[in-house]
Amino acid sequence: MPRIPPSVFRQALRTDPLLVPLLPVTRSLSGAQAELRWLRKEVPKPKLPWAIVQRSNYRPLQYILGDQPFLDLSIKCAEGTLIPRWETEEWIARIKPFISNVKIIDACTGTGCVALSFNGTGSNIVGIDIDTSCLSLAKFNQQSNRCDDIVHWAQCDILNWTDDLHHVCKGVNFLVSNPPYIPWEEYTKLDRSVKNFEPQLALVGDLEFYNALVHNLLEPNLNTCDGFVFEVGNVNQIHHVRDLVKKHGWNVGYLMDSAGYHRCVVGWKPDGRFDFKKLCDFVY
Amino acid sequence: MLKLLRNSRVPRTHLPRCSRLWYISRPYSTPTASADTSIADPRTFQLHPSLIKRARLLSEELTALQEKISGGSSFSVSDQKRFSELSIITDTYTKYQDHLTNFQELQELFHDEQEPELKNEAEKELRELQPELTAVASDLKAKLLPPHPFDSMACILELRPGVGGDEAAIFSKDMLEMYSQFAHVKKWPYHIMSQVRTENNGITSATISIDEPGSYKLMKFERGIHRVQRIPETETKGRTHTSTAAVVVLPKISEDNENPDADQREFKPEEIRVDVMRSRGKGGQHVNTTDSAVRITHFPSGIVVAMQDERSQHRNKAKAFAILRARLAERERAEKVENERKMRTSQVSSTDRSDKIRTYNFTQNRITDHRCGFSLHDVGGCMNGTRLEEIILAVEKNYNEERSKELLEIEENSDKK
Repeated sequence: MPRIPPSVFRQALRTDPLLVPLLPVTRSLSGAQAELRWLRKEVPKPKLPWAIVQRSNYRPLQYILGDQPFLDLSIKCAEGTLIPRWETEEWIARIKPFISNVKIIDACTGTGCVALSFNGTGSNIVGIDIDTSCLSLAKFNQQSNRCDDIVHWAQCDILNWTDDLHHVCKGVNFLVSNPPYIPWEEYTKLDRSVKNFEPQLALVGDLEFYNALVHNLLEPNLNTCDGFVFEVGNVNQIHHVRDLVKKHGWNVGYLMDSAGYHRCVVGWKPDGRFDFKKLCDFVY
Repeated sequence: MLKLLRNSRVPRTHLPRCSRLWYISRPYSTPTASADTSIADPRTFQLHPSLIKRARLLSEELTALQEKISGGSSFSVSDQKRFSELSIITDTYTKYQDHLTNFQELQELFHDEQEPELKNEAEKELRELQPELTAVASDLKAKLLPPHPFDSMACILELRPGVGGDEAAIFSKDMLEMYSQFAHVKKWPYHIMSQVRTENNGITSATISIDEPGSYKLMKFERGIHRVQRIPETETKGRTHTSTAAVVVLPKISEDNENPDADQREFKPEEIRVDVMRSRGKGGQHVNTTDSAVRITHFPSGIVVAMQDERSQHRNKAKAFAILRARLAERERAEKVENERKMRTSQVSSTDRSDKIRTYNFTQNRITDHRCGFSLHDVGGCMNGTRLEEIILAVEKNYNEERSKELLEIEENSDKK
């Protein structure tokens, strides 16, 4: 990482001394100014020095402020749960218009942001997570955002096929998931604010999660399920999912995010209710 | 006195028959001044025949609409809206007609040489009626002018310092406060969409959104260069500096909270490029960035909008699209106006093109608007938003006068052809 020039520190000091501790974290003056503005707006004044110290120790801003806007929702964030990413926000906004009146399963729901975003499509939504503290946060978010569609939460481990899981997923029409997708080798090299503060459980994983999603959730429900969208971290994972579902005759494509990375693998039944062809940036 | 009055009256026979000039009511400065000295000719208050024709057409439309609504066959919000608009205009028109006939009758009594007692009474009443009639006439005229296409919309104001360095940035900040205070005084909902601060508590750019529908009607007069003359806080030797700030007023075409993806779909993919901050590494779960800056480039017009104030990229995008659409709409309107102007042979001076529109002179405690020559001797009252409206209303009045003049010129030109 390039060193921040001393001139930037001097400029920060002249503009506002409180910017200086934030500078190594944000690595740009404009970023530090934005974060300081949000901190000033949302943290009560006596707690501001505490918040700045926390932030300068690389604690994620979303954990300090306690929430993150996500589409039209305000999602409460707490330690132990992954912070919603803008990439997720982006692909959900793209996919939402295609969905109406279906049963949706959101596997690895975390804060529940993905599941709750589909509120308003008249759907029956179930969010699944292995962690109970995530589920209670998701429930909180459901209430605070006044989601009136039918949303349920279930505590299941998708890696192991159980009767519970089978029962919950029965009759699913559309499958979404943002599973952990960072391979262990990459995890060790992550930013401090991710590695030291966000749960490893929500980050580290690779092909095994896509295997589980296809084998445990999709394949038992092949006759009802018409489409899926999984977030991915690299193009390998897309290829893996494509190879898994191609044998069922499904169409597969992927989405790119605005930063130019491969972000989602999308699959749909050729004669099903969804036609994601227009949505995809590339179709295999 | 009366003798003088009688002599000053222009005999009807001497009037050129179809001189249009006589139908135009005089600029707004006349009524109070002339009320004390003489009784005006009723024709002064008569409006241009084309305006009268328009008023009649509108009242016919109102009757038709009334029948439609009372028939109860269909109800639509737009009908209701149109109905209320029309009934306001028609009410003013009837009031104007009543006043005018009243005025003419009184005038006849006044010139009736046989009954001197009645004459005094008539004069007294005429004096009372005259300012009222002038007010109604100008009111009606303003209402009959074709409305500005964006008048019913909310607006977005963009502020930028001009020449003058730090002082200009500080003045821009003062202007931003003035507009927020003004919106506050008017009880209009508003929010500051973005602002970039400088070291000296000034701003390098700011965007304020006034969300009241119809606020564009008043605020559109604020566009242009505002000049300030004062001793800056940064000045050590007590010299007066002159600096400027530029204000751009845009109609608010879309709401911020609308779906930016729907906005994006409205533009062709090759026309538009959306850039986000490229995060370090691979993005997604790898980074929990707070950098949510978004930049939209619209290639056909070369407009670039950047937005970074919100914590959510989605909302930044929505805001950026709102500003882009507003700028495009404003540009389209400006082009249309320019084309119309080119088509006309005679160039008419108008409010739209003047660049320096207003001077804030702090040392003399005076604000002068150069478009109508109106001066307000209360800088503080203006800057805290309480008396800004007075200036804007004066400009609006002047603008309406000029537009009606322009309208008449167009009519006359087309008559000649």
